[in-house]
Amino acid sequence: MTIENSAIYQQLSTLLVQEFEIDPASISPQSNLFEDLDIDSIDAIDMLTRLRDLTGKDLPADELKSVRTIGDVVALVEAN
Amino acid sequence: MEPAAPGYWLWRLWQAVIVPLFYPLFGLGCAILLLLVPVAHAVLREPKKRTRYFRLAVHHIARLWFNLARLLRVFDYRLVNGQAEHLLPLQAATTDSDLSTAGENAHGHLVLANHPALIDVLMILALMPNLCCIMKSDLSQHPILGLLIRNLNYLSNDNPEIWLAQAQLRLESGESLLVFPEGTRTKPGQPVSFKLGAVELARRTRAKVLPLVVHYNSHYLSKSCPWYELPHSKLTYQLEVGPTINPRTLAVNSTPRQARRWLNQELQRYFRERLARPLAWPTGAADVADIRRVLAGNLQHLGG
Repeated sequence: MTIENSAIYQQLSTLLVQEFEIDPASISPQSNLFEDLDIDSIDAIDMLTRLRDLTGKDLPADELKSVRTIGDVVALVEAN
Repeated sequence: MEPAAPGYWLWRLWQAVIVPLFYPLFGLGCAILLLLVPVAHAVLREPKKRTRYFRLAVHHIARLWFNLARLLRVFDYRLVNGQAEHLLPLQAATTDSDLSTAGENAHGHLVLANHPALIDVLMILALMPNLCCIMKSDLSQHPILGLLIRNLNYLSNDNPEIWLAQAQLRLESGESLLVFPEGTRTKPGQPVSFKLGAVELARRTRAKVLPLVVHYNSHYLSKSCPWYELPHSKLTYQLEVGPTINPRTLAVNSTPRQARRWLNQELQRYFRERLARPLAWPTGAADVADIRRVLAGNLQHLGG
């Protein structure tokens, strides 16, 4: 199964489009949150909080530091 | 003071003598506080009360230090006229009875200031006796400053998610917070640029924001200036206080990201506009009286 087909990826894409006004065309597993999508560190915290609510998973804030791409976020959610 | 002015070289000579003696007094202040740590722990059992009195001690030491600076002509400072009233809500809660009711009061204030020199934090603490500061995380690693910071119950900004949550709790329990939204000292000659943590706090808590624009006429003690490069003219600090901004007016149907960016832009514009307008140092004695009165403790609630 590719990343694009995973439920987490779909949820994350919807979240980025609806809450962070990201252009759907610029979203791919390789897009860098901070460089390509103009997400800042507070946006990232917001995003993590929303993902916790959506998935019911306890995602540690410290792991956000190593996250760069959308694929990294999906991997982070799936690893927890 | 210009090199041509009468007394200029005498003034320069005095600076060369007094400046190396004056700034190390900061260390003396720290030493006094350090000595107060075991005393406070022996006498005051309640941690909240201990924090409160510890902050009050810092407040008084800072006041003393600034009055001494003026007396010794190291630097001078003033509030822009007619703005002292905005400080009143932040000068309360110095007595025991205020302490016990502090938690029941409404939200604390979020005090936001630009940070041109090391000492402006002390100037702000000299004006407001019970502020919680957000410190850079490396300061709390320092063996002495770290101990003082823990006793003052300040917050450290190492993890943004954690400090935002802690700061939110503090504001909601009625504590007022001081944040330098630039996250570091202002770079001389550049317009201020704010990080989004401060506005996120305002957005989450809808706490009242008190902007404090620090006008400083030199680069002395900025990040790129070593202490021994003495200034060529008299150092002056002028504080523009308030008016208080109420973030309840934030657009309700915007996403958190839009609200943050909008508020940040507004605040940045506010600070930039004010800082772009040079503020002349008044020549009359009456103009300086305002902050002197505040520091002398003539305002309501302000003891000693």
